[in-house]
Amino acid sequence: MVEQILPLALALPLLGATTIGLGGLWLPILRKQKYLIGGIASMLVFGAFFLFLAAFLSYKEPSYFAFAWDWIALDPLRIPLRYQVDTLSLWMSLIITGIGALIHLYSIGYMAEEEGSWRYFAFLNLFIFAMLTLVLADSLPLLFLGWEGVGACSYFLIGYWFGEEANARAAQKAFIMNRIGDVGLLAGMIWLYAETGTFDIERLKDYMYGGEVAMGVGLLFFLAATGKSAQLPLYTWLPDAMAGPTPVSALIHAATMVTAGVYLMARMDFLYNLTPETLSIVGAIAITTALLGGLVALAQQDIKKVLAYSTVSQLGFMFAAVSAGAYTAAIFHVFTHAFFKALLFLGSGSLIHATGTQDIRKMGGLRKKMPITGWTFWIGTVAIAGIPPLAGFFSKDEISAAVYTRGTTGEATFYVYWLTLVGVAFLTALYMGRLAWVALEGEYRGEGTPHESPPEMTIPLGVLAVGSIAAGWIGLPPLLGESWIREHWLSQSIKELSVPSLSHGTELFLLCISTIVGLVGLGVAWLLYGRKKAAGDTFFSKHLGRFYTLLSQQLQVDMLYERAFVQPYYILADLAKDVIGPWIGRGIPALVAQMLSRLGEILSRLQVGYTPLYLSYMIAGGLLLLLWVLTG
Amino acid sequence: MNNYMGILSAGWLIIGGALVLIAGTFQKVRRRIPELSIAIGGGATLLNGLLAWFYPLPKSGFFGMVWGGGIYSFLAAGVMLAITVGLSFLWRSHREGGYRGWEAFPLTLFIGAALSTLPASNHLLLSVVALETVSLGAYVLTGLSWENRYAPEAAVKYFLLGAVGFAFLLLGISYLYGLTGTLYLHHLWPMRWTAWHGNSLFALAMVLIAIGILFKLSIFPFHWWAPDVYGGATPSSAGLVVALGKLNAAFLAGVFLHYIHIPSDWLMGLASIAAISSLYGNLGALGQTSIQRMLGYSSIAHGSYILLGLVSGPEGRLQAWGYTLVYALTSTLTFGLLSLRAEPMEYKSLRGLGYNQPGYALAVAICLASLSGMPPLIGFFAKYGIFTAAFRAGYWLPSIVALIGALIGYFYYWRPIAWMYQAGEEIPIRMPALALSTGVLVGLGLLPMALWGWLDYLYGLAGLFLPRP
Repeated sequence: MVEQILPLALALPLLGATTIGLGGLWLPILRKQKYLIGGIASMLVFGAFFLFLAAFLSYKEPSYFAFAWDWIALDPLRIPLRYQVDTLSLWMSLIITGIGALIHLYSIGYMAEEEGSWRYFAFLNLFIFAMLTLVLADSLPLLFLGWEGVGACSYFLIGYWFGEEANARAAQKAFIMNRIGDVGLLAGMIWLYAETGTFDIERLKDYMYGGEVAMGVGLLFFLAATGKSAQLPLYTWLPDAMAGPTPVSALIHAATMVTAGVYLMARMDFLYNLTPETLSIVGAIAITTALLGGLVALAQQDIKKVLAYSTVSQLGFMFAAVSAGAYTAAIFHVFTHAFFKALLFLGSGSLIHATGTQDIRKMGGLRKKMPITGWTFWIGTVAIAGIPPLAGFFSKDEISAAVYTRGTTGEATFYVYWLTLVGVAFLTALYMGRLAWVALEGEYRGEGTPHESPPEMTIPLGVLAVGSIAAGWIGLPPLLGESWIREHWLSQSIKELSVPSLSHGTELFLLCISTIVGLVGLGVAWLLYGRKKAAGDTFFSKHLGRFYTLLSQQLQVDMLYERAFVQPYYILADLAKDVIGPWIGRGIPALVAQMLSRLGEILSRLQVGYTPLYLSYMIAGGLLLLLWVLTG
Repeated sequence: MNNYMGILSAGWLIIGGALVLIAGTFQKVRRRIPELSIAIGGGATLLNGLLAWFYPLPKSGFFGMVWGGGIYSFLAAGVMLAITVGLSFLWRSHREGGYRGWEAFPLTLFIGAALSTLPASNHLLLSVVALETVSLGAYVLTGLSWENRYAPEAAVKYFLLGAVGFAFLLLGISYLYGLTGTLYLHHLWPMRWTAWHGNSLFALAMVLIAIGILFKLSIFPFHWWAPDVYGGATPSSAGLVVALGKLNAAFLAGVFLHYIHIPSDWLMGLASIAAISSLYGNLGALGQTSIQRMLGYSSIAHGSYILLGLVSGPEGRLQAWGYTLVYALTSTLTFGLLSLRAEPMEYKSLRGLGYNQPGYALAVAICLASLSGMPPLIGFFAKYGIFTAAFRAGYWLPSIVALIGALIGYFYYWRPIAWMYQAGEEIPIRMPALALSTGVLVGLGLLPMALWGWLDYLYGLAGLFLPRP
């Protein structure tokens, strides 16, 4: 069953990308049919979603679908075009196509006034295909193909408005930062191949790895994850990536692509389970990133920047779960986060669409003017703040419980991680509360009269809002019931680091802490921004002083990188240009080239153009050959 | 159906070619001949592709004379793709030349029929007929030009030398028949060839056949015709002529080496000849100032890579066939693209082309880069396959020497590219151009790898990997 329908699910978005892309390129008349193009693109992704849904409902055991022949057949290196459908990849596919379809639908309205929307939809469809390839791939090179594919689509879509240089630069930055990470994936892949002789993920599981291999490859893969999933030190591209259209930020830079790193590590669970030391390093970076993202988000005035740093911070949560060996918790948070962060981004897109600005100081009072957007944005805010019974609460609580549990096994640093996570959870509620109160409540401070967005934009908001409320219920904590997603679904393909279970008392304590922290965060936000009408920023800048300024300048990390990496690189390049190039680069090769050219000229002098002479050369050659064969 | 699969495509092409030939005698429909021929050629490509897709297991038919389906249809599809591309380039020059020489179109279709039968043939007599049909057609295509005064000279040279080469081949095959009493390949396969090793008549037969094949592959010291012929041929059909020659030789040699067991030291000798030939061809190409003549010299080098693959066991033969298909397509494209310009094919005339006609220049540059073996283009994978197979077969020294030759090749393939992007006003590259070039890279790099996998799969199904009994 699955084998027959799923190739189709993979083919649909590819079909859309090629027909829309080539059609738009070659038949400019088609470009004007924006609703047709958007409609086709959306229908194809919806189609893929329903096929995956059918596969989900009829799922029994892991299966494969493949081409009869291999992608690369250079013996002994054989890389089949084979896709693996197990609970993890199927779950990710559902997220990608489900959220993706809604965002396609939303884009029809959002991009209605764009001239080049065919280009947009072609790349968006191509992105869905590449992302599906990434998660369904059963061998590392195929995964890498998807990994690079989503990177390329992200590049094209960030730079969608490439007429402005800042956007083109943001696209390039994302591309280059990701390349740095990709070196890790490539190197890790090659190392694994050298060690085992296979790229096949299922077969890789059966090998016995030495500690240093597991650790080295694990860290290399984590490097790849820091690039794609915006962790320290490679996260700076994500805030800049907001230069793309907002639905792109929602789909690629919040819900799906940036979670590819989490997926990769969950897929490679067998490597990380071998070396808990690697996971401690992952944890340290994840926690720092989460904290940094939360702090910087607090001081941003651009609505998309706040959400971008919030994404960085939430991705930190996911990696914190990975570091505790709780991969299912990480994937669970990927799932819930996809709903509320896509909702928030799409909501912000609706606000930007209506007000024409991204500056929250010029918004305000929008809930009354745009009730659907406003209320759904509030639902997203409460969900990400971790207030029960909304989605964010369950996944975040599972993460903090997992990190705490690792602490109880004697890894004392995990208590520190846990404490920081609680702090970041508080920050999350605070900055999201700030955003909601400043942008949605009070008086309108901008220009013009904003109106509610068209239904193709508000319907996805509504659906995502329902998801943001209910998505967490499939992962109840053990105290309240049974976590369906962990016990009955993901455990079939993911093997977690084994840890003792918590007592009910501790668990209740953690649940209470999570709830209280979220409520307190929102409460503080209300005190500072809701009650006193946006007085919070002055409060912070008075009490935090220069640190707050630094936060609003995004910690000046970009400048730091510029000084530390870009400038030295230019110096090296100058050195190569002025010294190595002229002296070593030109002299020796020139000499060799001269000699070879001279030799070539001498040889071509043999070619006199006289046919009888050629014939005699040939006969002589033949006689020599015969002589050699008969005597030798 | 199954019985006729082997001659389905050939029949389509021959009937189609005959129809075109008849149609051409009417003045009024003569202008439509190119379109018609391209449609017939494209149809044959599609037909063969579908046969390969739906019948992966080859079936013998037509009194056991030819194979059909599977790898044979795949090869035929590749051949017909190159030929169709070549025809579409002929179209342009045909229109500008006032529709003289329209006979080239039906002729090319007949060549296609013969060439796609060649690898599928199960009988050496049929192979020889097919081989010579292709060669005769190629002689005509070489010289079919009214403006170019070098072309007829090149054609006559090709014909004279080619006839001698073919005579050697035919003599060799007649000795082989005398030795074995059969020309059916499936009878040759199970023979105990080792009994013949050391027999001087067998050696004579093999040497004669080798001369014929080495001549067609343009391997040193039987390559003399290649620079003159390819360098002088009508530009619009030169690519096709190069492709035909190489495909012809590679198919026949592959079949021979599969069915006849050759002593390993002879194979080593052939590999060494290939290595020398690679050096010779690449060095010779260095000194050229005309692109067409450079491509003529480089065909010697490409012939040597193909030979190196052919002697490297079953896997090497597979890689050599794949390489030949890729080379045929790329050289048809390169020559065809270059022939679209009115200027002579000199390096100098390319100056600044990259800025004046960016799309065209990009296409030419990608073709040349692929010929040089630049990753991630298909030319790289093709070369990689050949050299790994050769290394694995134990031809260390010849492979390294041939690789050095290929390295030299980079220089002269990239020189025209350098000319194209020289001395023009600078134009910043925009996103659509980048997107397009990325698309082209992906299209040329990834898709053909999947096709390679398909070829490998069909090759295995046809039993060509089987060890000798």
